[in-house]
Amino acid sequence: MSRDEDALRWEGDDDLDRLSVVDDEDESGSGESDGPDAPAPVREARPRGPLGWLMLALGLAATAGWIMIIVANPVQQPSLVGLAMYQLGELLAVLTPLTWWFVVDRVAPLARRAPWWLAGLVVTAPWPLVAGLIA
Amino acid sequence: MSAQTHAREPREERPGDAWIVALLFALAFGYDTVEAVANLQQLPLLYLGSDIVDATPWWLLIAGVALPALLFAAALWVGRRMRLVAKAGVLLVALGVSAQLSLLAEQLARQIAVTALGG
Repeated sequence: MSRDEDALRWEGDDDLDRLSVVDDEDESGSGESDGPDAPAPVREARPRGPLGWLMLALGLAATAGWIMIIVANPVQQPSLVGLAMYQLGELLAVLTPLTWWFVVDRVAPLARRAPWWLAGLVVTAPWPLVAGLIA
Repeated sequence: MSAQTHAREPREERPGDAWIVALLFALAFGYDTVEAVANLQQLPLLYLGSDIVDATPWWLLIAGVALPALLFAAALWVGRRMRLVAKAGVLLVALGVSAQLSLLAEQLARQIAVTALGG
């Protein structure tokens, strides 16, 4: 199969989703796994621990907050395309707390997951709700 | 190399793949920037029409224009050594944060106007 045909097929694409941590280890490894008889890459076990589940719960709470913001937000757009794009942005905003949690869970090195989750908690908090309560 | 071994090899990524993904997300971030520029042009006119031109939140409007580009650059930097799917995930999160900040800016601009109008 040529590389151009390869781009049109799904087979094997799961391997592209391998974790960056594993990739780093592969790159800095001793080269033992470079041979043709090397075993296929194995997904690293990524236990979440209580902090991970707590962060997921807080992410769900943030999502609920964003849903409240979107429901209360008056939408005025001059065109149908503008309205569609605005609502797409609202959908993205609602999904971002959980997307942040998931991407950190799957991608971040284990040692750096906690700070990234905490950063996500601060960045993706429903700030318009907070600003509305303060005002 | 046997056919079976070949089938188990991870699919090779081409350097161009990352550029294509980055370009697609650049379009989305670019749309956010265009919207922010439109706000920068139109919101001061609304404040002027309501006779509260002194309350125009220029800092908010300028931040709104700069933030999508900053978030895009930050996402590219964070995902620079990641594989394609992970890189796309980071860019998607950054796009979502851009949407959230846009909604926050809208809320703040509304509150500033209400406060200036004495409401």
